Amino acid sequence: MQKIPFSLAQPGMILARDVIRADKPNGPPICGKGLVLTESLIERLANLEVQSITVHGNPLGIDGVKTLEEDLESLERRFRLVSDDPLAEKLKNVYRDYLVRTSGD
Amino acid sequence: MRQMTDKRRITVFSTDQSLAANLDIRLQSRGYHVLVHSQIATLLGFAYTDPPDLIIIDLSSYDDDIRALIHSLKSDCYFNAIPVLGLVHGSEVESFPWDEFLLDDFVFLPIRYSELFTRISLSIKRIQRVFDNNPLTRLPGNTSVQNAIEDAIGKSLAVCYIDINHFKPYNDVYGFTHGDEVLRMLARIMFNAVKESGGGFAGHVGGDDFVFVVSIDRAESVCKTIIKNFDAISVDLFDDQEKSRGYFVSINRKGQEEKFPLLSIAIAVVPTNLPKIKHCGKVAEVAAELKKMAKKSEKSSFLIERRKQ
Amino acid sequence: MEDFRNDFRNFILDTRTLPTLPGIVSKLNSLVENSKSSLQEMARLVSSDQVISARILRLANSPSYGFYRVSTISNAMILLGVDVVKSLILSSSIFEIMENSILGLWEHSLGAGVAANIIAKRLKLQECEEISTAALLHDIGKVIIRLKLEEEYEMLLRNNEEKGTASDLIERQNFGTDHAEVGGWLAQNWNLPEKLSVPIRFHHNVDETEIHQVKASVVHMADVLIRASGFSRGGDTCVPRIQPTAWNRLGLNDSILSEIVEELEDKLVDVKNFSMEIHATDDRQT
Repeated sequence: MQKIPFSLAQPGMILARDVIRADKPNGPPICGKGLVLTESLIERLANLEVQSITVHGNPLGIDGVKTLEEDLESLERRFRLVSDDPLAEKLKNVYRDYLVRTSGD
Repeated sequence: MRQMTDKRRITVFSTDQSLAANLDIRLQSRGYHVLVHSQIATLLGFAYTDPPDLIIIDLSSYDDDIRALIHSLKSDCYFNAIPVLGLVHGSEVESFPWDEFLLDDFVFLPIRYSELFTRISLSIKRIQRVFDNNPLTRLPGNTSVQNAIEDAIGKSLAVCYIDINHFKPYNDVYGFTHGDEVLRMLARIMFNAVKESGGGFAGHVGGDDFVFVVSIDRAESVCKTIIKNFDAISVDLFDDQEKSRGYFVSINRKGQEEKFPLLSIAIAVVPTNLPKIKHCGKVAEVAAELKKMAKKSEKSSFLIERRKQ
Repeated sequence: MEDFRNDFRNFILDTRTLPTLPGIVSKLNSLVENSKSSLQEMARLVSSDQVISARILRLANSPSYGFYRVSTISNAMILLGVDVVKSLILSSSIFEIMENSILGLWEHSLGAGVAANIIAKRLKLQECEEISTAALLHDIGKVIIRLKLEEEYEMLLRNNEEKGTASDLIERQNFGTDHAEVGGWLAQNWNLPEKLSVPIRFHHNVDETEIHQVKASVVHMADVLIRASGFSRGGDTCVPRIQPTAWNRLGLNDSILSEIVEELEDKLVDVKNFSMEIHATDDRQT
């Protein structure tokens, strides 16, 4: 999934997370995940001044689509000089958990 | 602050390289520190960052950008004390649009340097002599404030008096350097708010008393802007502990320790088209009553006089 | 070595302005030219650029105004006013040659500012805006070193990319000083308040400061987190050691860290999009 600026929203994209109003971050979602975007829905969200949405897939293709394995590999590479630092190790594990948790669409 | 022993600094603007180089050498030989610019954007940026003592602008050719540059310097009270000297061709003296350029003085091209040097030193001296603005905030002082109020009477304007609540105890605990900083900040906030609302008068009566004059329909929004910005800035003058408990401790008039709320301001707004407002003294009298009421609040607040009689 | 130190110090004394990305300057210029732009809009954009932020803070703290303690962009902009801010933006200079490393440095600084804000808010610290500003400015010394040494510095860093040695180490080996110290000098010379200059100076050694240690610790952690997320291209790509003093001082643990990472990764998507927008403007101009 990927979070994209709302200006790039296209009909057919599928919401991967609930859309929440930017001015009411703790308010109820305006539309729920799993919904397929349509022209009229995009227009309605635009009127509510939604700034960004999270959709399934990787429509922007930043750095291409990376697999979890590739992500974990570059994580290891970034942490390669501090493998003896217990605190850095903690941080690496937090990141690994994060990557694993968010990889599945 | 800059040392008194520093050289006087002159900024030169010209797109004519040989003229600029000549000015540079001649002025330096007279002991001035010279900075030459050939681009308007950089000149203004530097003038704001590090204000010179005098600016010389080559007006042998001019455009809207130069006009706007001089205007923006002269419309900001922090910089309008910098004399601006224009260089104009002798043949253009009749046709030059003098009114459009806010110049303090001029010298003809080609330059007679003895004349230029004299005009430079006269300009600097003159500006020091006539500059009666408040030395702390550089805002117009009491005389200008009185004039502004008299001019306002009978028109659809509002005279607005600001003062800082609990300023004296603040000054007592934190010292006058910090107190002065608060006054400078309020001065700047008021000045910007008035200017950005579309213009008006902003003056400093003295101490923590300030006055601004704007049209009646803008008075309320300018008050709100000033209060919002003063509250944002003043909270940062206190340390974490004071911020979280919401008060500071100082000595009151009876010489006892007392808790005072963090700094806030009170603004009294007196419309000058009310029938009862006939002279300057009445404006001040009404304002004094209003301010007493505004000051009852522990937070920044403003009150507008609505009573016709 | 001592020569290099003096060179940098003298260079800072002579430095009246610092260059930044053409993309951010053209974006700011179009905001400035639109008479309806508000101070808030300008503040948001200014807060994404370490160089313009530093220049605005320098001006607000300059002796000609007589304020001594302006440490946030929003306060600086309130005090300076729209017109002064506009002319300062219009007098911005840009990097003549855009290297990937410059964009990387810019992205890293922006990301660190975002990360510091998340950490400070999560830990319910006072003065969040000051902390984010300090993090935004933490690598400003690199801009100075880059400006003074140009290709030489670029080469040094490029040759080390494979090995991953931290830039501050390379700098100390070659110049006898590092970007934290140089940045600290700049901050002092520009009269920035200690709330900002101390975290800039000590973000690689929070042990050595007695004041503003919490702020320096947040900036250090923000620096580490942005490296850990692999967010910016070029420059330092390896995660540095986490300073135990910073970790302990902030009372961090796995679960707090996990929450911070979650929020950071979410925010970084927007930051990345913004950065791509800026980069696209740069491409169009060059």
